[in-house]
Amino acid sequence: MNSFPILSSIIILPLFGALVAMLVKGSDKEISKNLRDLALWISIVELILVVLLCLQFDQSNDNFQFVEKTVLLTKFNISYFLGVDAVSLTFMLLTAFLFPLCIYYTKLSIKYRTREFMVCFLLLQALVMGVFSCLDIVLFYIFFESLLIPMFLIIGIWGGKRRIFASYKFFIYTLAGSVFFLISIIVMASIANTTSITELDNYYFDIELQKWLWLGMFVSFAIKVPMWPFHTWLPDAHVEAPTVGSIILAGILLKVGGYAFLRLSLPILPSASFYFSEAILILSIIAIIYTSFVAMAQDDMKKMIAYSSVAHMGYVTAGIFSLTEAGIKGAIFQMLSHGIVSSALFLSIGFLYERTNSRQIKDYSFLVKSMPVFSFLFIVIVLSSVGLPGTSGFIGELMSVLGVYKFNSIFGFFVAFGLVLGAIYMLRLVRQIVFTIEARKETTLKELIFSEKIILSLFAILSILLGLMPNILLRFIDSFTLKLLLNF
Amino acid sequence: MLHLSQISFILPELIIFLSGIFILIYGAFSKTDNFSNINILALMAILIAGLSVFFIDDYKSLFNNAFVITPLAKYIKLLVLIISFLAIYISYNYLSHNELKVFEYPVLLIFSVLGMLIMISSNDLIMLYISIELQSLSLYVLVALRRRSIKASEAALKYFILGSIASAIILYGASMIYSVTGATNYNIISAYSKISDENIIFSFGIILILSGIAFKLSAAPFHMWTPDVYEGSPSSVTTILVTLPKLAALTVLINLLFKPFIGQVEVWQPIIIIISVLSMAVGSISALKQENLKRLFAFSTIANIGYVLIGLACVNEDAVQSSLLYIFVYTFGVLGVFSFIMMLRRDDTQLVNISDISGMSKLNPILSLFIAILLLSMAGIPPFGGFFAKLYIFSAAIESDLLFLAISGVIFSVVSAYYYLKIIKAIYLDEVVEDIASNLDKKQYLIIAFTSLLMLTFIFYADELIRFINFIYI
Repeated sequence: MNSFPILSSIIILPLFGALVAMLVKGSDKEISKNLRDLALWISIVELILVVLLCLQFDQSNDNFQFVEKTVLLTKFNISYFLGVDAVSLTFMLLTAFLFPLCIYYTKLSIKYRTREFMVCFLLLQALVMGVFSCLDIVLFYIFFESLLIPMFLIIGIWGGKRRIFASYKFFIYTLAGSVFFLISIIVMASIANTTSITELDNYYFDIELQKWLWLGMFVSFAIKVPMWPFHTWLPDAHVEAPTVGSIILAGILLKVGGYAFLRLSLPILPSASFYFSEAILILSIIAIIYTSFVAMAQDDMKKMIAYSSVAHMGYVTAGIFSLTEAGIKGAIFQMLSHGIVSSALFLSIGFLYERTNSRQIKDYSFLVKSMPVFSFLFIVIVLSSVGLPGTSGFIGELMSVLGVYKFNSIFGFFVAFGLVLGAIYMLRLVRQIVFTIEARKETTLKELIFSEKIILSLFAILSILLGLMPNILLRFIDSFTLKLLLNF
Repeated sequence: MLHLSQISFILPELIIFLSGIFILIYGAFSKTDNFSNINILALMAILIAGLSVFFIDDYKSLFNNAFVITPLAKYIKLLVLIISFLAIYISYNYLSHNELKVFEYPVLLIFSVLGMLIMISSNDLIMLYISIELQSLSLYVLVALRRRSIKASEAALKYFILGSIASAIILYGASMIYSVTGATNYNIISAYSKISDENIIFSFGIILILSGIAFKLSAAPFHMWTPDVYEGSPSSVTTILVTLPKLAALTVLINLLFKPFIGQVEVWQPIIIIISVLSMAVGSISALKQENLKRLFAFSTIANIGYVLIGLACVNEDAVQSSLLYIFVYTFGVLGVFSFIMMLRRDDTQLVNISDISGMSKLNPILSLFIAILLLSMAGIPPFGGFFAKLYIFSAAIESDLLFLAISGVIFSVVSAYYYLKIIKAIYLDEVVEDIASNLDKKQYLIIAFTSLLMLTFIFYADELIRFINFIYI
């Protein structure tokens, strides 16, 4: 069909940009301006490329498309094997969408060592695109694991006060999880003598072995998602990371875990996935309810959003492991929606933080007066986060809950109960910082400047658009879901 | 008797030996300060010896089977010569900065290389012992070369005393094996070990010899000398200590385990497994608290040797090949790291602490990047060389049903990631304390760049390398 290696170019382009960024010379000021422009342009070209990819994508075909394959190592036939299907395209689109906005926003937020930041950011983009488009399990691991390096630096260099602790915790925690994934990979590869995901999908592993392999992979993905009780790195990483770091972390890196469940755990180890599905649902329910309560108790806005992320990702894992059509579609939808909504929430908090250098809820009140536009957009985003009908959050959460209901109605009740809890703390946040005036002095802050308004309203519009026309995405992932469910 | 036509088979050894003698005489009798000439002579000698390796035939044995040339021996010799060439090449400025410009330095190094070359080819326990002694004695003196430093003298004394004990243990083991088999030649011992049942004295011999070799490899629990010696000796000597003897000792170990002792797998396999796990554990955990870079990498060496031994513990050819791959990656990685350590200077003093390189990335971004690649590779983070080396080692372990070895390997690699990250943290995340010397040594920089690019592009030549290792070790 199309011989131009478009997937490779999507991966290589940011790498090339990073190389250029590393080598250019000049005064600090020039460099930071030019490199930001370079990175911005590269990310825009990436967006265009991904959109082109979506347009050329054949929806009726449920095989992988745009396949590229070169054998790298003869051992296990480890190969450079790329290809996309609907779900990977969805996440590539999300990535391609978030990166230009983040890079645009760095003009306002990243004040020092711009060159290093752009290098890290471009590397991160290349690696994320790699994760979402590769079809070789070792290659997946390589991309999955190398993500840690730029993220470690982003948290560690541009982060807050306890940034070093947070970046270490992030790195070691994630690494500790993924090494078991590596063991699972090697065991699978040595039995099936292949590392191609498509071939592993068709290989049947013994059920007892499947359980162990599944657990090895589970630890890694559960840390990445993160699922309760593996979530403790997330609040630290989020609170200390710079705003753009939080956006990428919440918007994309958490999705890598969910994507890995869909791409690897379910199709390669279906029996084990079925065997453990109840346990995962219970963990997800605990995550949803427990972290909602924890979020209620937070004084720090960023920490609150971080915990709410754990709760929202709970819907994702619950939806996936309900192993129903509604659940899986809901989970994918919820991931996309959470990618947009949580990024917007972190961005809003970033805006406030830049104005006052505080993330405490008690330092803000009655923002509606001094920042009406911000307040409006913030409320839209919060409503979409709590799942108001008409916003993207509603569709994702509703479908996940439906899926869980089908699986087990008692579980469904608990998951639905989480929706109420989510509404409680998010709306309380809005009440306290946007509307309350009594007993506290009113905070007067500068209204958002034009570019800030643009970025934030883009997120809000997108969220509403997805909420009103969910079928665009739902139809897109139709064939993927059906193919996945054939395993069960 | 050695026939004249057989000289070609010992060509590298002969060249190294003759040039060693020549440089010794030249250095002793020339009055002027001509260290740079001697340095060049030594480099040339090693270069010629390296080239001569290509003219040796495979599968020859000399001196009543005491000396054999296998493809493995041939190419490990080449690697040893390459590494020693690079080690001399990068340490020239280090030596002149640190008043070590004495002609004995290259001479001793050359004799130690001679010892290693013979070690690699030895097929007889006596030959093995003599060559190990030649190698070690030269290294003891090299460690002690900085006479006025108390730490260096302490290191040398420790190394000498403990090293001699290890040699004595090897000799004791050899005598036990001789008492049972009546021979010291590998071929005869091999024949005996295949047919004999369990023999306590023979087993004791094996265990003692393995302990001695493990000492030379600095594998736990025979590692106690390593941190002190590595810290005390001049960095250029430490560079040699972390690379060359490990290569030679590993080859000796492979030769011993898979030739004379192959019939007694049940005796040595558990020992190798225990040594391997202990080394990984000791190396990874003890390094966590180290602030001195040389001590830190001493422990890291111990841990890496643990990974190499996983491959030997599997008792099959594929696994040994992954060990060889691992030692290749490790050797070049650690060579780059030690060129970096040699390079660190400020106001005429060498820097050895992690805190000294704080904030280096702001002033030397490219160098920092190279170092970060080397460190991440050693930590086993993809997509660098160290990751693939570990991947091969772990898959070898899993394919040989030694899953627990692979699991302990990955757990300790997470532990060790912590201390490699500590250095990266100092380079990238900490504030600048004081700049390191601005005129960085070009030669060392070159080697750092070369090794880190080697680690970065590993994936592209890995397959060729594996095929080559497969060809030399079948």
